[in-house]
Amino acid sequence: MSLVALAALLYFVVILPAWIAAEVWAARPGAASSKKTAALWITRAFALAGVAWVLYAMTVGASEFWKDVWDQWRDYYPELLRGYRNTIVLSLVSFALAMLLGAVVALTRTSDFLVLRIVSGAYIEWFRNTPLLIQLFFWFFGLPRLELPGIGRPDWFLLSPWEASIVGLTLYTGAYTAEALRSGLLSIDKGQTEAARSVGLNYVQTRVYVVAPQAFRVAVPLLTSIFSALFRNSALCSSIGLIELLRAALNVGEETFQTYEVLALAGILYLSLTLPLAWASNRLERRIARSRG
Amino acid sequence: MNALWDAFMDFLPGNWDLFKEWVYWEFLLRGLWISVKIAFFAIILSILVGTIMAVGRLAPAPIVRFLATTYIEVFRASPVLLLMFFVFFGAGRFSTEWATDVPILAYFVDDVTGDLTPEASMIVALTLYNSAVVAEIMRAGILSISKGVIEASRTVGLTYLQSMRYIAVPIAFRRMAPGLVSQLITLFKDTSLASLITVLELARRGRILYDDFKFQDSTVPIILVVALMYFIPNYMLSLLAARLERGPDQRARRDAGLTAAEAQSISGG
Repeated sequence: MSLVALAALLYFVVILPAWIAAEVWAARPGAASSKKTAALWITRAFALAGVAWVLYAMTVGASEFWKDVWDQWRDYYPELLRGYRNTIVLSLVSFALAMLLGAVVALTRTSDFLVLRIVSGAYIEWFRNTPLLIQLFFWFFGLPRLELPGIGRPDWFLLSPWEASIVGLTLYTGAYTAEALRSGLLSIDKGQTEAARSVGLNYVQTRVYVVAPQAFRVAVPLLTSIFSALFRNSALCSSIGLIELLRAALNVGEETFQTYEVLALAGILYLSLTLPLAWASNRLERRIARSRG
Repeated sequence: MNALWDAFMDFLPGNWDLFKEWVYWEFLLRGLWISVKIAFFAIILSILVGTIMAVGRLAPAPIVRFLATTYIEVFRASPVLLLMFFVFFGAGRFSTEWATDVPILAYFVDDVTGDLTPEASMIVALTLYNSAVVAEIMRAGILSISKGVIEASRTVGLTYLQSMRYIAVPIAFRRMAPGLVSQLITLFKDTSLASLITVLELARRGRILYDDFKFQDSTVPIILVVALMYFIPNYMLSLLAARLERGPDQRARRDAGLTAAEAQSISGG
């Protein structure tokens, strides 16, 4: 086993980089295109043998593992799908709220009123620069134990896992959507505002009817990646007792002692949504880049 | 001064008494140091692996491109927490006793059980995710170099390696720097996830304090202090990223909101 591990280490640290370097070197501008050097072919042979070995080990070599994965799916798919549904609901609700919050914060952050700008700026910086896990713990463990002067310790400070997750994810993601929308707002030409003002729209009308819709279009690719991040971040809610996909998988794993196999299933379920999202976001970005020339 | 500070803490909501004693600050700061160490190892490894993957993704051979693209897309799209549990629970499946004899690797392996330590699992998981993002940042940096610049440098007599060393790499690095710093912020926030697999880092130590019955009333103060210990380095890094984004000409492009590089690095705790 130690030999195999050393060989794998050697492969990833020495042979793969050497191969890539050889390929890049052979394709450098000005290199003779028809003459491939012997060294290039030797590195290619080594590297491809390694690739074949890895592919073999992951499929045929791990057939037992994949069979176990399949068994877990067959026996426990209702639990996993329930967790998957919770993850999706949680992400959609939080994202809708985060969009609202982000829109308000982005508009106030770029407004003409200093106090509003400072407050929204402080919100963005604080929530963006502290870990989501700590924020979730604050809403779930901290808030119920907080005694405020005047109002004391009201019952509604005690949040359920669902409420704490939604509040935590919304406030964390809101800081990012605000920044995304703000970069959209900043990209809109000043002439638009001036034109709208000169035809008689007031400040609020200008911002809401003229600037905001254009800014939103610019921000769409950013918002797609923010949603994808939110979807992945919702896994953190497993730590405050919400039975979403990751927690469901860990629960099944505790029952069957095949945690590794179940986590592989959870991974596949997460990727089933994030991979298409990444692909769509790439396409969208390319299309916008093309339409702008 | 001390009395003034104590009076201020009495004025705040919540019970701040424990922060009048240095031991509790020290307890948390030691955790911060462990978080910093994890982040340090993870960012070094991420940049190493990310460079290989970025070059691989731009390589001329289709199979190299395919492998690098698969790696990047899959790990960029998976939750860090899932990767962490995956590595942590999977660690026992790999025989790692041999690593106790290798100088640097020995740090990551438990002497007694021969397994990967929880810290090492976290570093591996962070590296898997962040190297994929770093690779994308680097690819964007490399692609931003126009062909004309390289051709011009070749025309004035630089060799291929010289044109890379003196022209391409410095330009690409300057383009990548803000993205890499933003990614470091994300990575440092993500180290808090290690608290869920028993690593005694900052978030875990905060949890230990407020899980103690005698500190029940201090839960919010403890969480706020822990959050502040994450906030201060992250905020300084975000100022640095903004400065790098603006470039040497400080008046140009003041503040354009969330950049594409930053948008890539939204994730995790």
